[in-house]
Amino acid sequence: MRWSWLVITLSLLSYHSSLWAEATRATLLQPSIQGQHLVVDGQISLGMTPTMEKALLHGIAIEYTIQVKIMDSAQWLWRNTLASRKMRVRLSYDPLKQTYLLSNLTLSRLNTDRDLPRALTTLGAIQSLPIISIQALEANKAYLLQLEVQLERESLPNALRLSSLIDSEWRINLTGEPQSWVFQP
Amino acid sequence: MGISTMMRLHDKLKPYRFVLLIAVLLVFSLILLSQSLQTAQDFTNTYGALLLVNLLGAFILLAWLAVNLWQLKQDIVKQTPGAKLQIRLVAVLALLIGIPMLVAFFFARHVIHQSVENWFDTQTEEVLQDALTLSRSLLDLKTRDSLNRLEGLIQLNKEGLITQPTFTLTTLAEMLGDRNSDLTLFASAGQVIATASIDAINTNNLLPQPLPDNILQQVRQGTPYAALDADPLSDGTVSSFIRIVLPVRDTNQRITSLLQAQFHLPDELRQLTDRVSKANAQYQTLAFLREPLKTSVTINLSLVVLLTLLGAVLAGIQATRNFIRPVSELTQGARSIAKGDYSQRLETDRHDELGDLMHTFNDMAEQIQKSRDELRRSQLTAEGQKRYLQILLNQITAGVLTCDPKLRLRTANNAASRLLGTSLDNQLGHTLTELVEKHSPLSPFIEAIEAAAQDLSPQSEKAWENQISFDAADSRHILMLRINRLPDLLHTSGGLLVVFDDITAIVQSQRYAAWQDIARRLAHEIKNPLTPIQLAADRMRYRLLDHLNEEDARILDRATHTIIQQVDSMKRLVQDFSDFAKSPKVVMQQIDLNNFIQDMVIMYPLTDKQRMKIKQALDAQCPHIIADLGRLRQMFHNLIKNAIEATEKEANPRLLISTQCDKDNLQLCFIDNGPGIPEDLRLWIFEPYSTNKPKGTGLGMAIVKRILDEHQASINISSNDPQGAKIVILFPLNPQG
Repeated sequence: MRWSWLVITLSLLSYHSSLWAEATRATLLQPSIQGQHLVVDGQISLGMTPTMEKALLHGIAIEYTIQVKIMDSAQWLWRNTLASRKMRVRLSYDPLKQTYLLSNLTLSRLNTDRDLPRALTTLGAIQSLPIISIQALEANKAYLLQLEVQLERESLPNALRLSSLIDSEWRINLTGEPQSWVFQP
Repeated sequence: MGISTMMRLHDKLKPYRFVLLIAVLLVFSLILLSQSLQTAQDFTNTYGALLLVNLLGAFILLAWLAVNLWQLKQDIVKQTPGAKLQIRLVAVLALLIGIPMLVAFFFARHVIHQSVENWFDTQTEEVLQDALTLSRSLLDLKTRDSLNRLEGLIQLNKEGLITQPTFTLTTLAEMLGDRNSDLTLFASAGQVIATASIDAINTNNLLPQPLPDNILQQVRQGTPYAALDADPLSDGTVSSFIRIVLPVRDTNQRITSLLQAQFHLPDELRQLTDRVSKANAQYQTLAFLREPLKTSVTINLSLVVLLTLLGAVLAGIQATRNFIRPVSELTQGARSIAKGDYSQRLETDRHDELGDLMHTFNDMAEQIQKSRDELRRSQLTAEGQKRYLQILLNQITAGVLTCDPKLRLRTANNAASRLLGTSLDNQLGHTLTELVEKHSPLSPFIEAIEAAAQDLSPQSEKAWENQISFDAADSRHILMLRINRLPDLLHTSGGLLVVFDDITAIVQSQRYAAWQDIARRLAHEIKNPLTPIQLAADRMRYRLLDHLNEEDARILDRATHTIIQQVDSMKRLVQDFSDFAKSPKVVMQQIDLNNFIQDMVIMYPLTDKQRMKIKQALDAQCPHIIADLGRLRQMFHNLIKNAIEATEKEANPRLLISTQCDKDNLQLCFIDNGPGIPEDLRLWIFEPYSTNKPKGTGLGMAIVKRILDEHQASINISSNDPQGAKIVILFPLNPQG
């Protein structure tokens, strides 16, 4: 049936995003307390499929949203998220200078790099990202930290959005396994 | 606009609310389509929502269509009025909308794909690529030139850079003569030693930025760094510049410091290269988006076509439903009327031809209902009249029956069945021929009707009259027939009206009167001369017998004896006739018939001459009857005498006299064991002078019949099983008059 793709698309939309985690990997998050805040360090290897790389070299900027959540470890119907912090990064390519432009839209940082893997590593670096005030945490209580990475399809050109929903080459999202952490002031 | 107008508009639009929803969805789809055809980034946040809305809308419409089609199928199965017509209309509508839409879809898709392809031109791509390559080459050339110049200056001022770095750096800057350049001397560890700038453009970076690690490491290893670099600016843009980093070596060729020169591109060159870069990037982006754009356009177009088609079909279903509704109601109303429900009325507020038709239908139904009511009243009246006529006919003692032109029996009253001795109620509708096949005794009656049917012309107003003899089971009857042609209501040959009556009693009375007259004359004319004849014979015998010889005397004796004997016989005959002719005054009184019978039986004792044994079986419960004792006695004598004569030849002659009563009649029964009465004789046995006995006068049973008539009693003669005759007489317990 020619309209079966509609059904398939809707079905794919309803799938858990962890199924799409093919190209993005994360190293262990490292929480620590700096001053009055819980901060997180970490490193993510952001996914970049050949199609995405080709799009990048054709002048299409790729945006990722990196989100770190802190949740109650107790789960009833669902886990209660105490706080979350998002970081949106953008990668583009300058064909004249043959340089990748790295923008952290959340922290307003801009870098350049000629090497794509290095540029992705730079973009995926989480350095002392404040998550929550320690006042909101209870001593000696276990919490869960979770990392999520999403490709921002809304930033893609309109013509590409539908394809990015259908094409597996555009599935690089990641939902990391919750990592337990005990707050010890 | 008034509230009522708004309400009316709302009511009219209510069936189309889903269609309006579809229209909204279509508008969204069109927006989506137009935006997807652009590559602009100003429509970034609603794309997914719009797509989802449209997909959901398509699913809702598909589900709704499925429900509607299922309902249509159910309507077909239930044979709902108008369902088949609606299916046809929807199919035609879907084809009329669908085919042009699909044609438009494929045409638009082709045109759009072609247009997208036309955006791209190999020559343009090559030119843009060449321009980009040229820009890079130019920048590379400038970079190499800057590198060479800087390397030469370092060679000349190597000592100074080590001993007097600030001064030397300024000197070098002046020697470079480039107004858009910065010179910075870094220690090998990366710390800034000195900096010099002739006319720093990059005011954002008043303080020199530290060297990136990769450059620092590269140069510390002795490899110069020369490249077009970009520095991010605070406004989010980047500043392009040529970065040259060279190691400064001492006399021992040890790297003592690193010299960085940043040459900012001239505005004209920068703008030109930026434009080339942007144009190339845009073209490359478009080239990359070519196929996704086609796919997106195809999908969006398909979505629009699907939604439009679904919307059109659903709107068509709703519209045809609205259109068919009056037809369905009309069909339903017509079916109701066909089933006899004339109270059906159609409600409509339409003002078109269908509305007129529904109003006309209502008028028609009202007229039919009125006509039906009038017809029903007429029927009731007719039925009442028919019932009245039937009662009237049944009260008539004469038989009345009617036949249609094909001589099929249509009506018959009770008297007709009674007179003909058969029930005619179950013969209605049968032809007279069929009737005679079942009841052969009716043959003369039927033949008379058939003869009348032939004799009477269709327009005849005269009556056909005739008298026929009709042999009933008990006796022969004489029927008087009067047959008329019925009025011709349908301009065809009318039926027959047959009126008949049993005139047997009248004829019999007339015969009795004639016989009485004859008897009286006989008695008068014959009785008078008999006595003189008898006296003359006696005298002749007395005077001549002794004067004649023996032979003559014997002859005379025998002759006179014969005369006297025959005269006696004639006297008895004349007496019988006289008795028959007399009409004695009847004196009615209460009589106990059982006692009377016992008295009568005593008068017939067993003797040598009278051998018949008379038995009695009398019902003691029988009440008295009203009768004339003398006439009753005469009747008994006649019947007993007949029985004695009938059983003369029997070895054990017997007669049983019995009585039996019910609430209306007293039944007197005579049963003998004689030879019985022949069937043909039974028909005329009550006629005077009818006898099968050689010595009988034939008046006995006629007198019996007359006496019974005087007592309003009836008589029936039949054969007794296994032997003899059976005479049953019914005396009414409550005689009339």
